[in-house]
Amino acid sequence: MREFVIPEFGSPGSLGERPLPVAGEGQVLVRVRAAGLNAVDIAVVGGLYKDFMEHRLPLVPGVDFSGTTEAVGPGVTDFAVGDDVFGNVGKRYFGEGTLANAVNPGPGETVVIVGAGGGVGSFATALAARTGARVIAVTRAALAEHAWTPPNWLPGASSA
Amino acid sequence: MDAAELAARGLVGLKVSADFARLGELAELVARGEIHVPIAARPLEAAGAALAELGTRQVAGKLVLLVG
Repeated sequence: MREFVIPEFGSPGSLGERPLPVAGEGQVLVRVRAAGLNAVDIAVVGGLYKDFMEHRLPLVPGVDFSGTTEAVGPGVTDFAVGDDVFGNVGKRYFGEGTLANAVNPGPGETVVIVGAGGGVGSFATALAARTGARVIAVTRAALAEHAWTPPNWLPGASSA
Repeated sequence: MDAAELAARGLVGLKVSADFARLGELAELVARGEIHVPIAARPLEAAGAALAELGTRQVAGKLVLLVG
C-alpha cells in the first residue's frame, strides 16, 4: 500500500510502499478513504513533539481518518468487513491502510477522550455521549470552562 | 488580557467557543444545506504540499487527503 513517509523530522516527505498490516487481537484493518490534516501534523513532522510523544522514524503522520473495514482481527464482534468507520488514534493515517483498535462504546462502558476541547475532540465527545456510554472528556481547564456546556439533547450529561 | 486591554493597544478581541448545546442545531443546518462547510481535498501524492498549505494558516474550513 502507498503511504506518506517522513524519513526524518523537518523533511518534506514522500510516498512510500509497504505491505498492508494484519489485524491483531481486538483490531480492525481500515482501508482509508480520507484523512484529515490537522495543525498537530505540522508539529509532529517538524519534530516539535519528539521529546514527549512516542515516535519511530521513518514516520507516517496523520491523526484522524475515515474509510471501510478491510479485515477484522480475533475478538472483534462489533465490526464486519465492509463497515464504514472513522477513527482517531494518532498514527499512520496518511496511507491507504491502517490498523485501529475496534471501539464501539455503549451503555455501561466508559470512554476517555483526551484533547476534548479541540475541533476533533469536541465532536468525538458529543458522538461518544450519544452512544449512552459514560464519557470522561479531558481538556485544559481554560477550555473546560466554555467548551463543555451540558447540552439538553444529551440526557444525563454533566460537567465536573 | 481582556477586551479593554486589547482595545487600548488598538486590537479587537474575539473569543470563539465550542458550544455543544448548539452542535445539533448546526448539524441540522448543514444537513438542510443552509450553511456550507468548506472542505478542500488533495490527493495523497500531494500530502507534503498540503501540509505546507495548512501551515500558511490561510486554509478556510477543513483540508483532507483523499487516499483511496
